[in-house]
Amino acid sequence: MSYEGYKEGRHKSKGGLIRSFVKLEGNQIEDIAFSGDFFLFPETAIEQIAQSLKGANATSDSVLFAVRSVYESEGITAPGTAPEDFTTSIMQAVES
Amino acid sequence: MTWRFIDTDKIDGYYSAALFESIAKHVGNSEVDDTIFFWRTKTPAVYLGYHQYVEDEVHKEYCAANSIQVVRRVLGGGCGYCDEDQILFSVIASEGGGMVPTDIQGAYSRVLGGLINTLRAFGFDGKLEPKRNAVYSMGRKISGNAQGRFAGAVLVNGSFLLDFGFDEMDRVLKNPTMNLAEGVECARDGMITLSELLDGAGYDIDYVKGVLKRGFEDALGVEARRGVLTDSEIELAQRLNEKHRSRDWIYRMDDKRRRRRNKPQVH
Repeated sequence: MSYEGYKEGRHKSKGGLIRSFVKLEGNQIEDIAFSGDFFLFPETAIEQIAQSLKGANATSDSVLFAVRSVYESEGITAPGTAPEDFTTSIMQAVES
Repeated sequence: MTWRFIDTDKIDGYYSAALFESIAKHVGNSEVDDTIFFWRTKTPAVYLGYHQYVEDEVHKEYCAANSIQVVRRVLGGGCGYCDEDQILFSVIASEGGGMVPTDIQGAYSRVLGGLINTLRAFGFDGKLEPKRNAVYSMGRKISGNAQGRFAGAVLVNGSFLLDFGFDEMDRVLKNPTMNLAEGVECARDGMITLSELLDGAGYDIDYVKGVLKRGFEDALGVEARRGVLTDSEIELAQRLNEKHRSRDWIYRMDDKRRRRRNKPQVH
């Protein structure tokens, strides 16, 4: 089940499935949400990842930069789920 | 090093999630010893991962009609169906204490060695499957696990199947084979129980719990003494229980999606 007006990307990282739901406004990410069976330590940092992506350019470089910055600022560790995995899932939604 | 061992046996599913969260916070604050916690669910329950939608994972009408609880845990990972024929465990250590490795795979390897020791004690093989955070015996899954780190504690939670309602799991979960081996079409084909390994010879649950406890102790290199929950742990667990029972917590992901879906579209 996906959101109306949102594009969905799915990427199976080594740490679990990441589903991204992306709403675009032109070439920018207007809104974004995630679900899946991945692990983040802390799990609540998923909110900061989503927040950092709102307004970001929907390009691989911008998305990776935003996610990587939150990993660093929040001290996220995630078994088998790197910023690149979030980026793959998000860009799959953007390009769908 | 001395650890604490807590076995509540059958408890409510929501309360179990509140309790391991409470114990973790107390372990993380060094208010209590590192703890091995065992429980069983009083009634069947689905434990849902932190980032999962109820509606995508669970046949909720079937659960409601059959008194199956849907419990959202504070840990990530996938969902699992649990009934009273599983020993559920949470191995909870202080994050900086050095008893459980700081790297995630290292933590699984150390703690889940307890399951492998247990299977060996019964004369069976056991193998850690790192891709699925699971323990397999005879090529089938006998223990599913999740890990969490918060409030200064590290938790490795999991199940040990003594017996199991395979067909019920197929009815409860929308993707029952998702975390089983590739090509498996139903829960029964991808999972195995101690009862099946013993070829129906039967077991005494208290004896199995003793072997499992010893398995963890040997894997961790510790001795765990039977202890009790502190008043503070119980009090916090009771407060957290309200959260875990609340519709807002259980459906937090689904509600967010619903709000997005209902948001007026601006063109």
